[in-house]
Amino acid sequence: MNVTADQQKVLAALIEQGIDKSTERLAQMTKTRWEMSTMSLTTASGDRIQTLVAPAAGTHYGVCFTAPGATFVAMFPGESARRVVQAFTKGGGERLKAVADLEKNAIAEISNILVNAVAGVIADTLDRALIVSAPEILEGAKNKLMETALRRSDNKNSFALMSYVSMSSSDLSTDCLLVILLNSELLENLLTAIEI
Amino acid sequence: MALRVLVVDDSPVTRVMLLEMLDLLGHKAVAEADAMDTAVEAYKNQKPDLVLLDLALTRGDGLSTLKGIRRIDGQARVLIISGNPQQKIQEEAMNSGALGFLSKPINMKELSAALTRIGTEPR
Repeated sequence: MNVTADQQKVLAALIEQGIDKSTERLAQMTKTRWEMSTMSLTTASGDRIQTLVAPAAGTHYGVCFTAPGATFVAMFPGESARRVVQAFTKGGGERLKAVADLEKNAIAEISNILVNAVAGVIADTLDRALIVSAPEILEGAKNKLMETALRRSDNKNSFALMSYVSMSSSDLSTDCLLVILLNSELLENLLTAIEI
Repeated sequence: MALRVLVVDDSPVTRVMLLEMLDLLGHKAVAEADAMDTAVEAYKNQKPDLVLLDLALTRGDGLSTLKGIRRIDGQARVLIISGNPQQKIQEEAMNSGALGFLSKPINMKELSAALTRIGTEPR
């Protein structure tokens, strides 16, 4: 389906609103500034979406969430993941340090906060509930993570919204790619709800 | 009043953060769970004063867990802790007997205020 430039702008503003909410909370917690630097929106069929995420050197963490009509995946480069986990768990005691797979589990929870804030804005716009699954934690090259996310989605009719979130302060500089895949029905409903 | 608390969240990181906050605030975590079945079982066994409940769980979901616990104990006190701020879900949780919502990531001051309020209210 085609999405006009005006529609893309409104959708971008909607997603930004969700990301802003979550980054504000994460900033309070980590006492650092989190902000979204750039955002791009792309409409594509499943095969085309796969090519949007180019293979990149190094391992990434990917955290995948599904909801009826939507799939969300947050991807963090390995080094970024380590930095953001340090900020998130700063001040935690011995019990926290002893959590198995702390890095992966902390990235999953940070992604959970980001994704649910965005899902919340979409759901409220649609005036319905959007139940988001527990996170599925993945590890590997960025394009492989994308392949997995597409397998979880209705990729024949997907529309991809891609958002880069950068987090920066004097002691933290890191970034995350958030990909939201909406099926055509959910997208149509969303466009109808925002009346464009 | 020190509360006996059941902590239910799929994230081990959040569970541990909550356990540490409860310790610091002078409350006691009597059990923890990451899924609906284990949460309901823990509630039956421990009869806690309060349940801190996430909406996304490893098995089942928070809303079903809330309803399951309230079926066992119609007076159960459940506070939802979630990154999921949706209006419709909040309405359903409140209609199902939740005491309120706290947003993730957990803010110690907000948690403290909520537990103080709950600890001083009659059941």
